[in-house]
Amino acid sequence: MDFELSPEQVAFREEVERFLDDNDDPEVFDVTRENMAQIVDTPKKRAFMRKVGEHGWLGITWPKEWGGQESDGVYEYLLNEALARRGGPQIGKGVGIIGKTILAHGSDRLKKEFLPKILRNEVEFAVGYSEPDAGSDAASMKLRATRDGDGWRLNGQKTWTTSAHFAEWYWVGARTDPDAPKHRGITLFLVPLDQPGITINGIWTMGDERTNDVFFDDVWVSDDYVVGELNRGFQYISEALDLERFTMFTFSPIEQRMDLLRDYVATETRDDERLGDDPVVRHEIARLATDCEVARVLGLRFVAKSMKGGPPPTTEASEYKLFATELSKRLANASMDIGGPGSQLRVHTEDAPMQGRAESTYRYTVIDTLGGGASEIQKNIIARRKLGLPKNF
Amino acid sequence: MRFAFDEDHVLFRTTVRDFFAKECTPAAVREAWSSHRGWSTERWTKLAALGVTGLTVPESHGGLGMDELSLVLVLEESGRAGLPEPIVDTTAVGAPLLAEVGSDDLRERWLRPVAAGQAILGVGLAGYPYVDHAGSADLLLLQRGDEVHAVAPDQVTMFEQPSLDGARRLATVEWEPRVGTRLADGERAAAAVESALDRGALATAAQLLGVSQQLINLAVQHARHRVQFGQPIGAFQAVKHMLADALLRLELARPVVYRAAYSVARDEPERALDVSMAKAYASDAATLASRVALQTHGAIGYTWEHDLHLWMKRGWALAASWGDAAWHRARVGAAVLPVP
Repeated sequence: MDFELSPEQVAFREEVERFLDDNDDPEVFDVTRENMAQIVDTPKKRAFMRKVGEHGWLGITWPKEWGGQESDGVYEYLLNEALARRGGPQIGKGVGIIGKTILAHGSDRLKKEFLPKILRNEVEFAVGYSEPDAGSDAASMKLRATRDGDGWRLNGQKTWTTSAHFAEWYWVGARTDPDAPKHRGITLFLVPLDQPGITINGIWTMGDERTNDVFFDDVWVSDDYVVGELNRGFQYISEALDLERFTMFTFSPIEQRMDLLRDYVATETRDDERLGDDPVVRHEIARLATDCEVARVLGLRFVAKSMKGGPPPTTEASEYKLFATELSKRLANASMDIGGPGSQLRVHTEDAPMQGRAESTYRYTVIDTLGGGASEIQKNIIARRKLGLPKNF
Repeated sequence: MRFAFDEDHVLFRTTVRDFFAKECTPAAVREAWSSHRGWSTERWTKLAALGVTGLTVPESHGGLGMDELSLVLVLEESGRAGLPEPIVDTTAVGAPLLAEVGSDDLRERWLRPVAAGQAILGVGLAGYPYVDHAGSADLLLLQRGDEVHAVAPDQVTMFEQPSLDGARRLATVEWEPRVGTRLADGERAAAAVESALDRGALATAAQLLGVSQQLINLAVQHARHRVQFGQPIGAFQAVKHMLADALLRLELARPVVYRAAYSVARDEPERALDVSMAKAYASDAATLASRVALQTHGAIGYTWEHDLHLWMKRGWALAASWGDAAWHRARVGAAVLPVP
């Protein structure tokens, strides 16, 4: 057992930090946006991610045959956490979900068309699993794909597609066999988002961010853009979700908020007493600091396990996602509580404690315990896959 | 002993509840968020006609001269409706403070318009410096050291402190104390400030009961109708237990808040302790209800199109106002275990 990074890994991390220093730009990095910062939604962010690609850092774990470096997953982890720490765009969807799924299950044609573009960050994707009636119950999606010539006609609705209004391609699950059991009749497609028949309507959230409803009205997609085998889509989605649960919920922002809270109680006084001298506050800080270390090590365990090859460590991904996001929520609660009356002030207000992160975190992290599978879903996964308990919600 | 409200209290609450159901709908709350001043003078005037704005104003000054036991139920309803109007600062804190330390002239000049819904008060204390609706207040009651002053808004400089709750228009104020504005000093001022702080904490605690109730109601409604895995999600234990926990926390907070209202109304010696217990518990109840309601709703709960965020944000803001849970727990600690 070895908890230390190797000299190569330390050197890589330092190189990444230097690169980020050189490319520092408030329009690319904004720590107060928390989870939503990872989205590559502006020309500046795109240009930045292209630079990351030029460094050979996108798809760093991919096979050399497809432009990767076949590096250990720990490098991707170090890169992603460094980006997250600064509130920058992250390698997320293209490399982490679409690229990896195409590598594992896609046709040569899809590989040739998409993998090089992903590595150069020349394409943005939107991911469409959720539907109004199928939230946690993802397998019950209804978007219908019916056979038409050498392709399929798609009709129906998706929701919570955050990147739909700026992405070029839609990674979308649709029902191709309505008679099969619900998780066996779904196929994954890649659909260009500028096609006629696609309507995108914005939904605004408490974090002041935009997500979208996407409507399909007779949208045609060629057989060439079917991902993997017909009717196996839900299996691919499940595998991708395991990856997503880990890579999308980075640890750095949690660690950073812990540092902010600790610095705050170390310096701030209330009623002439240093907050850090209050035993109740100390107890809370100690508990949260311990939990942060637990989350960090849990994340490292996932990285280590995923490096050994073989299938993604699924229950570990759920354990990490569940614990890290519930911790994120408890940390937000504590920052609000310990931050006192100023914690209701909006981010970027001068008086707001902890750089306004008490308030902004509360709003931006509402997605944490819901997106990527609600906490209750993670508990189900753990109970079923690890304890072998019967299927039930 | 009779731990129940009088028929009159309950009747008044029903009247106010019916009024809010008609006049303070979620759509009306949204409108207030996007309006210039953050609240509606029209609705405030109608509330005055019901006697609400002057509930704590003595009858000799055109009010109802009622105490906190009546007010607490009205405040609870105002939280449930998400009322944007300045009922806490004006009715719960400002009017009693002015009645307590104001000169005859000032009382005569301001209490009648307050009761009539024609004037609102802003309150700024050292312990809680964010004055709600300061920008539209007609008179500011401000603490400076061991003095309490009544200051005209045009004599202060205001600094907006944008709150996460769109209907709360907070500001800090800078001003020069003058002899002419001073209402009280020394022990009399200290006692008035203590009392004002307790009234503010009690009022927000009462509103938090209503906010929590509304959050739970919305979540329960959703859990009954939202179908997943072939059943309404309310059928799943994970969801049921979550909602039961939130309701339990609220039901535990409620009698403590009522007890604190009694202590404030009678100015009992245990007043501060009772208020702090109530505010700490109500803040925690609302924080939990907020989280649980969101988790029950799923992603729809954090969108602007859904009403849930209006109450979540009100709950978070009120929990941080007039002393947060930690501050009040510290005060409880100091009271039950005094430092030697």
